Amino acid sequence: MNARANLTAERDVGPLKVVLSAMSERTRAMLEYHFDRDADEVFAVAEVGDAPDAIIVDYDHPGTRAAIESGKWASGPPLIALAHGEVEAASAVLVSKPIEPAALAAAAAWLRDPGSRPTETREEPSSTARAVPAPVAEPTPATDPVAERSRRLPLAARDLDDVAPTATAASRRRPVEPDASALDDGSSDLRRRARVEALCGPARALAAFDDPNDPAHRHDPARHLDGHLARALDALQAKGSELRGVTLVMPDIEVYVLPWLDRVCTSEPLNWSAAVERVFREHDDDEVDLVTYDIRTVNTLVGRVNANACQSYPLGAFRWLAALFSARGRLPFGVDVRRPVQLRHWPAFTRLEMTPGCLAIAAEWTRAPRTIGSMVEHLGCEPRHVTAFHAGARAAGLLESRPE
Amino acid sequence: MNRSAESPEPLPEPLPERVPEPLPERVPERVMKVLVAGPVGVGKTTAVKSASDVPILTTETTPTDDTLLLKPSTTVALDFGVARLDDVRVVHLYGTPGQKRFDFMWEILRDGSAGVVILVDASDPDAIEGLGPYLETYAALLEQRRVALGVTRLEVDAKDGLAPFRSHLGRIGASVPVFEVDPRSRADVLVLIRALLATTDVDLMS
Repeated sequence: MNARANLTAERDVGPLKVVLSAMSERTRAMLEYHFDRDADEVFAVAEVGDAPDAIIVDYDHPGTRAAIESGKWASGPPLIALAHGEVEAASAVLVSKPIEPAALAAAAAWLRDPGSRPTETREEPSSTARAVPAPVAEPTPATDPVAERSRRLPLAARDLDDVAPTATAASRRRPVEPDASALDDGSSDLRRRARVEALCGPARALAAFDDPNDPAHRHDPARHLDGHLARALDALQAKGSELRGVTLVMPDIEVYVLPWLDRVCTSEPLNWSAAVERVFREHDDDEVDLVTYDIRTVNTLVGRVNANACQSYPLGAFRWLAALFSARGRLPFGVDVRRPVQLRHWPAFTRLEMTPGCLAIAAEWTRAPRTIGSMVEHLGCEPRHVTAFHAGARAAGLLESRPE
Repeated sequence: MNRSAESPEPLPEPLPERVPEPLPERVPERVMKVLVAGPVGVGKTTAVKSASDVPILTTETTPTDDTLLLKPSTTVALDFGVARLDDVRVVHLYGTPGQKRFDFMWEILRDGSAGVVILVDASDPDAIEGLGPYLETYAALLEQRRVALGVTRLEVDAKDGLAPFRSHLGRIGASVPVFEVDPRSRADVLVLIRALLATTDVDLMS
């Protein structure tokens, strides 16, 4: 370990480049956020192609312990393991949880210079691991542990504390489960019909889709919430890591897009048909404001989420749902019902809103290319069930044109 | 008394022949055998338990090997449960043992099955490599698209989501359902089973 920890002189200048591995998204997001804020100090996340100076893993993450013991990282850079309590981990520098910036700094100092091992290191005689707790402040008569901790932590540590609940508020908010009443035999017939109509619209004949520009049976997704959401995500992707989040400010709702948590939060509940009709109606561009947040302003977004968000959805589930609510069984203008399409892969239906016949439609569209018309005839299902599925799959980017 | 002069009493009219009412037509149940396979500790027994409408039959015992480090009990032969999907379809669920040394049970249980649900733990760094033995054992079912993949513990490690599993199956030409699954959720497990059977059904229709 000492040999591995002997970093070169040039690495002593600037932050150590680390790879974050074997940890939850929450821990990863928290560390990345902290490192970004303190980029000139201790650690920085290694970019693709960089040779990392260390690997940080979560010792309490399932599989990490076994991976360490099996020597998975033995031949690589030094290992920093974040762990609760006193544990044994060969060939790893332990940083006690809750993670404090001072403890990370101490671990970095130890990696840079193994001789600078802190005297407070907790180490069981039988262990080869080095625990690097935060340096202990001088004793004070204070008894309130929160006040005490707050007093002795430097500013960066308090910032880190701010980040943890921030990420937690959105990620711990239980995502809205897909409503199964469109399928569930246990639902009353009335409720089931209402849900199917909300998702698939009224019954339509296949011939209704013959005219690709008929406004009664066609719509423009770009003018609905799913289109505005797609633009927001495109903006995020185009800006790479510069942008951290987006808010869609619409007349009836604010939609908070938090890609680092794979979440979308809404300021209004979407449980009622009246709300759904208002939110998923057509909106002109001047009715929708797109507010973007970068690393410096992302806390503003997080503050709004904590203050206003009432429902949370996984990003993919929200896009699917928004597409269904917006289309309500209509097809986009210009889509040719005679053009065969095929699914790239199955939609992840355990996390998506299901509509009648969706499993059979997915099974057939992953098996072979088919037009909407031939799918209706082949499965003997209602056209609106196929067009609703088409809307969701299109928003998820799963459809591709193929010769039949 | 001259009896012969008297006219005989007319016999009562015979009762009309009673035609039994036809019994309501009963659609025969369609019973299917579905396997639940996957590595040790991935949640197979939990999944069978969640989906089953009846108390499940298990063959769990205390492990005598490294499995003890992972969990206090392990399946050594099979788990069995019954799930009714609707008025017609009933699924007999057979959970296989996860340990490689019991792989003979994987093959024994395979006979006559309509398909196999393979569960895999997303938080296992070697999850994709760990799928190999199962895809090999159930290669014939995979060829007929009678396989569905349930990815568990994505909430623990959701970095790449389902994508690596989809690409792995895509590379071997298998377009089968790949869903995130919480084995404790009856709804999740049943959706996975329904998707598996939907694939089988549309293939039979074609």
